[in-house]
Amino acid sequence: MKKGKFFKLFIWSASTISVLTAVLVFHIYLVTRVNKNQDERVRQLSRIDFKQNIEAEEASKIRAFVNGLEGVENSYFNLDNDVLVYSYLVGKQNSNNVYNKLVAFGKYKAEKYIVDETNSKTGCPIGTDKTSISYKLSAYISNF
Amino acid sequence: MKKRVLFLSAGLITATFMYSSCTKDEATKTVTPTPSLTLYERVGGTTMVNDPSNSGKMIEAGRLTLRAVVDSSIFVIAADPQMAKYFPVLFAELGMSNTSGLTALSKNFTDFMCTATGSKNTTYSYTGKSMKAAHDPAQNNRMGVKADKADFDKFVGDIGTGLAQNGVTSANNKALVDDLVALLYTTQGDIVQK
Repeated sequence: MKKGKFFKLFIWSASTISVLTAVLVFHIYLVTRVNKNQDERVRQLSRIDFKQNIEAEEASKIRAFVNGLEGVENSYFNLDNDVLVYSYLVGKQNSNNVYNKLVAFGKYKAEKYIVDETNSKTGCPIGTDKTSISYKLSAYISNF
Repeated sequence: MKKRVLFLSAGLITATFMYSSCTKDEATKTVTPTPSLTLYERVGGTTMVNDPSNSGKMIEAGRLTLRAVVDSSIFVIAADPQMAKYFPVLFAELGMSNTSGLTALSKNFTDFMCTATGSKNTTYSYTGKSMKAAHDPAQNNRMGVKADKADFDKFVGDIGTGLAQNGVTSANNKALVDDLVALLYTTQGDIVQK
């Protein structure tokens, strides 16, 4: 009799937990799913540091050239520090190609900015904490 | 003569009545308080408009404005060597199957701005850590270094440049710029921990 009660309790608990887990997974999927039309998953930012002084007119030329490359969406030139930043769609463009084409275009003295190992572990926390369990679970479900 | 006095008196009474009516109306107008708009309403509010980044989708005008400012500011910040140590996530090249740091930061920062400016739309709510906990390296392993006042001022300046890129400057809308800057400075106590 006691065995039967325990078994019933176990079945009910297991069923409840299973249902709640399924609801949670479905909820995470709905909240975090990515709209394939938005290209949200493939947008990337890259930076090129110029080792020479770039005037406003030259910066406009650089931006026009980079913006004209396939897959490049937008760019910004910091004239105070001679830094170019641009965004592109991964799969349609890559940062090495942009850098090589730009340097060939203007024979610029410039370096591609690469985040070192130490810096890559730090960052503004408004970005997602990718080491957290909740992020990993969300990413797994949304990529499913 | 009597008729003239009677006519003048009638005119005086009518004028007095009309004047008093006007002043009463004006007095009533000054007493009635004008409902103050939230910052979110001032930048577009809940009016639904087409989302230029997602054809066929609608977005609140307030969020669209804030997202445009955030996206412009991210470029300014990313090109600012003084800020680079705080935002390496922007340049992390993760490949096809991952959401880049750019997208995550844009969404989270826009969510934060929507909530902070008074958006009531729950789908735009910021659900991250509190500003204090998020910027404390002891509580958040994504925050490798504590922010100092000079960098915070530079950050606000970069947001100002982002605003200007969207056509909002102190010259053409001082009140809005001042209020947005004041809003950012309300977080200074939590973010600056050095």
